[in-house]
Amino acid sequence: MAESLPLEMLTYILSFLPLSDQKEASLVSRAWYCAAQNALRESLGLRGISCISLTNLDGSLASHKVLQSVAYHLGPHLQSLCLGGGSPTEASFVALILGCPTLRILDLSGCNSLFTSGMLLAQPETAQSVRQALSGLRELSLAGLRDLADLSFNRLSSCAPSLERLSLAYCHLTFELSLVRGSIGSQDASPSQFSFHNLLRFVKERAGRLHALDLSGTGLPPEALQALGQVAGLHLQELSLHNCRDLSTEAVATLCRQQPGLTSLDLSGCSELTDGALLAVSRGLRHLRHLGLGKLQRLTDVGCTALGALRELQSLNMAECCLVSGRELAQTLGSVHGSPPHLTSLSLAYCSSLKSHLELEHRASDLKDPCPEPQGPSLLMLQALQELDLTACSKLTDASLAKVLQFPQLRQLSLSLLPALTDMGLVAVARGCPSLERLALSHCSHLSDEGWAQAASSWPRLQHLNLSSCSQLTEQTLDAIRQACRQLRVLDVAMCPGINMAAVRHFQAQLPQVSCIQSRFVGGADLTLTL
Amino acid sequence: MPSIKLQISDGEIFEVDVEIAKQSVTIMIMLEDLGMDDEGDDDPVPLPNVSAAILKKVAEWYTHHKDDPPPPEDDESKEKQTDDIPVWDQEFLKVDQGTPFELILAANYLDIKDLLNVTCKTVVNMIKGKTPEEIHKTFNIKINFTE
Repeated sequence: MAESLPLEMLTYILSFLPLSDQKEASLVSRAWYCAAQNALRESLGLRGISCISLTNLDGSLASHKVLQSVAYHLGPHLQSLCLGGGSPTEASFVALILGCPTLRILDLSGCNSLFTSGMLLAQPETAQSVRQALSGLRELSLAGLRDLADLSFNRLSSCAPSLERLSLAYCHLTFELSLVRGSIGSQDASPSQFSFHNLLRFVKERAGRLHALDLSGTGLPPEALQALGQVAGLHLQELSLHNCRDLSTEAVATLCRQQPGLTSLDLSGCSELTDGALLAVSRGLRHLRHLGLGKLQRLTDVGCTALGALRELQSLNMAECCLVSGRELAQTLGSVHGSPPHLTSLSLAYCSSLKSHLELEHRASDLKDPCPEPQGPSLLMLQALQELDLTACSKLTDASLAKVLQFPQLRQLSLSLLPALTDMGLVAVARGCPSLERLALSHCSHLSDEGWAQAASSWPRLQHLNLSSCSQLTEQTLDAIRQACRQLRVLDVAMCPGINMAAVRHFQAQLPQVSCIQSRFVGGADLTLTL
Repeated sequence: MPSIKLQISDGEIFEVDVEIAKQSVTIMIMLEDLGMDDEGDDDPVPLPNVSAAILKKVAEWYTHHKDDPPPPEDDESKEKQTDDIPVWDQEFLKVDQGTPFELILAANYLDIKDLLNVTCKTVVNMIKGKTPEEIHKTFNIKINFTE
């Protein structure tokens, strides 16, 4: 009797079953197998699996089968697909894409195998079908593709008419400066090179939709940036120019005039930039939320004076700006009326000039005042701060850290490589930042068990803790942490000579949910190399 | 109470309360299509896919449930439950092997969602926790993977 049920009815019945029962049911008969597959497909869709990442694919049969299954089971509901870092074959890639009609995000970074032959999507019928499948694609990453060429780029991009976000980071772009400055010209799309000229043509075509572009590591020269910025109708919101070392301060200033709507700009590693660039950004990009200025080693305090104008700034990365002493930074970020209220993430890692006295701390009128009421400019104003990185800011003193680090919402903090930090500072930080979830205190050689005995109880939410190379810590600290930090997941005690493997094992036995403990070269390990 | 006539698979004619009959979306659509009103003409509504025994069971089920409040909107994203079958329904569905499936088919054809769900859940509870061999025995299914 059960055999007379039509497939849809059987599918409906089996869809009530949990996964393990569906598997058993699929082995009953051929009809039940088909129904179970259908039921699985529906339930996977209902469970909302919409993102999948498949790395390490290659040309093998196993990879091909995986891709087929993914297309069949998850394809109909898939919104985000990442094949980054693998080497799928062109055929299996096309087969997969055709099964994913609702795809919005596609990451092909490093999938050089798809572009080596230059024949991807060369067949018009294939291209037409892929175009239908990718009609809703919004975001495409083609980062790190050394074989990407004009022809293959054009074919792929023409299959994605709704594209809004594009990454070409670390692709090998060629720049013919004369053509950049001149008219569009009649240069044909090259089958072997990826030219800026062709990219510019693409950007002009899609100016109305394109709002995020990543050209990190492409060696973009100033003239090219200018040509991009002045494309008619282009309103960029996010632009990443990480490691574009040829960019000049003038080019950045021009960009700020051309694209005032930018909300996210990454200029980290553009080592030629000087203070003028930062001033131009501060004054020109009023809506900026994310600013990356890492490794800009020519930036000084002068450049920081206008940062307060960025009222919507949420995250600021000034790591390795080693000439910034912090005086102007505190002034502009910390002043009562001028501070950007939304700043949640601040990185000043390796800013070796960052000084503590009178720069970062508030001017306490008297030591009698226990509550730190800021009297002058102070980073204490950044009460919304959630992430702070002060790694290796070696000039910061223990006392100033204790005073400044009072951030109730802070979740992530790095004080690694701060040799000045003592137990007193640690305890003060613990009291001031009770919501910490991730803490790095690597190489803080003055921290001892006494400090941790007091500090641990203030951090019940701690999940990640790095104590590597803290030479004075012993298993007493591990005990203190074990009792207080019940949510801990990851612990690093590598190279702590005072902690031995037995203590580590004891700790792990007591807190089994700690999924990862780094314990290389802990106490007693012989660090001498034998050659 | 007004009633309508239903002609089933073997030609036999049944009279059923209109209210009960209208719980079936299929019958309701047929009534509208055929232009019948509550009073009913004498022309019976044809239901060739339903047998007498099953129709009796369906009517019995609906007589019991006709005062039930309408069920809440189906939340598609939630896991489907099978442990919420009312006691009366459990007793009602303790029948021989073939009947639950016939009821399922009838409920599907007549488009009576509640009955369909209850009968499906009953069958599902018969499948849960069983190995394929046990499922074969329970439902008397031929093993035919070679076809």
